[in-house]
Amino acid sequence: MRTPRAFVLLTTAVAALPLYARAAELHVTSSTQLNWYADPLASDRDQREFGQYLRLSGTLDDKGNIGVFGYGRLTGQLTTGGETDHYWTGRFYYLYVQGRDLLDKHVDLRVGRTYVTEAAIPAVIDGAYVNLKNLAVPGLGVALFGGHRINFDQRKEVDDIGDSLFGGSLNYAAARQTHVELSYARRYSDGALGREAIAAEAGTTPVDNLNFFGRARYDLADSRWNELLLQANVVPTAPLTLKGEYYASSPTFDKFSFYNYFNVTMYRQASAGAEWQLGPRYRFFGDYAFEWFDSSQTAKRFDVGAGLNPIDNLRLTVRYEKRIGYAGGIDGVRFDGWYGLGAVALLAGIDYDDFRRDSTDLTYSTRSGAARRLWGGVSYSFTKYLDALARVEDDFNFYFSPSYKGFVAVNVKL
Amino acid sequence: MFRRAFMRTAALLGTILFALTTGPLVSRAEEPTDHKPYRESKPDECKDCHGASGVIDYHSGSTFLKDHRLLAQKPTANCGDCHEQSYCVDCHNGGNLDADARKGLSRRGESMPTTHAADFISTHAIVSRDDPNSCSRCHESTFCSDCHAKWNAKPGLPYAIRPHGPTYSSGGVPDPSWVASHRAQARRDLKSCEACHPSKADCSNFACHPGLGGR
Repeated sequence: MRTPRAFVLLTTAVAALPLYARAAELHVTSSTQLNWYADPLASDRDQREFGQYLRLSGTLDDKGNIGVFGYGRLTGQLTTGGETDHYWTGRFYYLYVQGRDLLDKHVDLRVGRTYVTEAAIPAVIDGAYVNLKNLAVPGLGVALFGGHRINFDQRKEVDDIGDSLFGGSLNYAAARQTHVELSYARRYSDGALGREAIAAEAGTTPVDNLNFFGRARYDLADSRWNELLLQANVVPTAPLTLKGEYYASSPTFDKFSFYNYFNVTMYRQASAGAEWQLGPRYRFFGDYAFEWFDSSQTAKRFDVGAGLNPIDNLRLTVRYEKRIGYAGGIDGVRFDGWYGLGAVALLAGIDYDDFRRDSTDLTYSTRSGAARRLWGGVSYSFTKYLDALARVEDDFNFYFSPSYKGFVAVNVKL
Repeated sequence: MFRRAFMRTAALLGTILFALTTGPLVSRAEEPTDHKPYRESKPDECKDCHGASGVIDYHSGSTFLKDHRLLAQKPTANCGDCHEQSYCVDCHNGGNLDADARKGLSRRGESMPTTHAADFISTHAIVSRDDPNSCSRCHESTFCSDCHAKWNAKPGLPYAIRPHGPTYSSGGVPDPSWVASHRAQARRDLKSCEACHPSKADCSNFACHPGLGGR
């Protein structure tokens, strides 16, 4: 029961923080929730669960350079049966101390359960992340990180894996939002090298209305390219934004996985999109993507939609998505709306997907159907520090009759 | 051949990017804009600077859902000026602290990002093909195999996973149509194989691939 203990640790940290935070600014957010759903693995039996979320953020010095951040949750199943083997579980998302601009603005530091966003292998670790900056070359930074890698499954933290992650990066930031980064990381699993990757990325905005971005990641353990992305954004006139992108990737497997012995074809995608802002109230967008799965299999995707704000306090979004080609097709329509009435906000939406899953061999026919979802929600702000939200959802699809889900949340923000 | 073409393309485009970036490299580095004073602004108010004045609006476009990772992973990322890490976690790891009524719920009542539309159990087999790495940004591979194993262990459920064609015709003789089709299928969609066969036992235990390395 490692995670509930961690949640207790987080709660204790919340209680103890004011003792140390002489000049601190402390924010605590709590959300107490009840949710319900029909569990398809237990003959659609109705299940109910309790959830308690807790987040804290605080500064420990006058300048606000040293802070502590934490977030976790505890969930408990109030009904019996189904697949659950842990009635009280939790996730300890993060808890770290952060120092910024330390040692004469040369060091940024995070220690604890924290995140690593380096492109080589992003992860959450129990460890440390150090970024050295303002070095001899202005804009140059060197980051080092390492620790135990955290793995969450559907409900809780998986605490029996021996994963660890180590690596670093060399980064450079210059004028015109230019940045270059070279990162490297190694991941061990149960003591064996699982992944080793190097990534390079660069981006720049040579003029205000033109931006380029590129990234390449190479899997050193598998000796193959893992990902390549090239992107350009153009704003020819203020209300219009155009985008073009080429993306290629191959699936990632651990070095010791036997899947590494297969010569997998790289997935490729070319896409283009446009967004047009018509005054402050209307926005229209569209994207098209062409995908290659190998020399003989392709697919196409379309996505068009609009964001509408016809009157104050009313926001509507509608979009249509279509996919045709390898693996199957989807025709999907989505609509959602938000209407504010002072302290009350009403929300509602519809998802409709007509789909056809193509069989991967000739033994079975294709599978098709329509998936529909209706949902609605209401929120109410009692005070600046207290609000509540409820959402209900009803699903219909090809396989079973209506399925109700929903949650009620009471939030306290201090 | 494809690998060579890919390498050439990557090298060419890398050179172009390098050329584009070396100009500003000689310029003095600049601090990223501090957005903390705008933390309480409404999204529409962002356009007072972004979009209207010609500064590219990276944040609110229709493709931001897909592109935000590119910005968040920059060393100069300033997401923290307005967002705490929980803002990331609530989508990527099923959190629901700042509950958003637009997000749906999974079969286990977990909050899911809006990319999981309608009844995602029905459609994920199609959507997940679009990029073999898109799922793994939030889910471990065991997320697929654990769930598929549970469904396969309960035959007769409406969602029962349809297996592929028979591997053997009779008496341990590989089925010719399986031999012909699974090779091509695996090359273009190996992640789907992994969803039900996380270890090599199913491939190496019999006569087909006895010398297969790895776990």
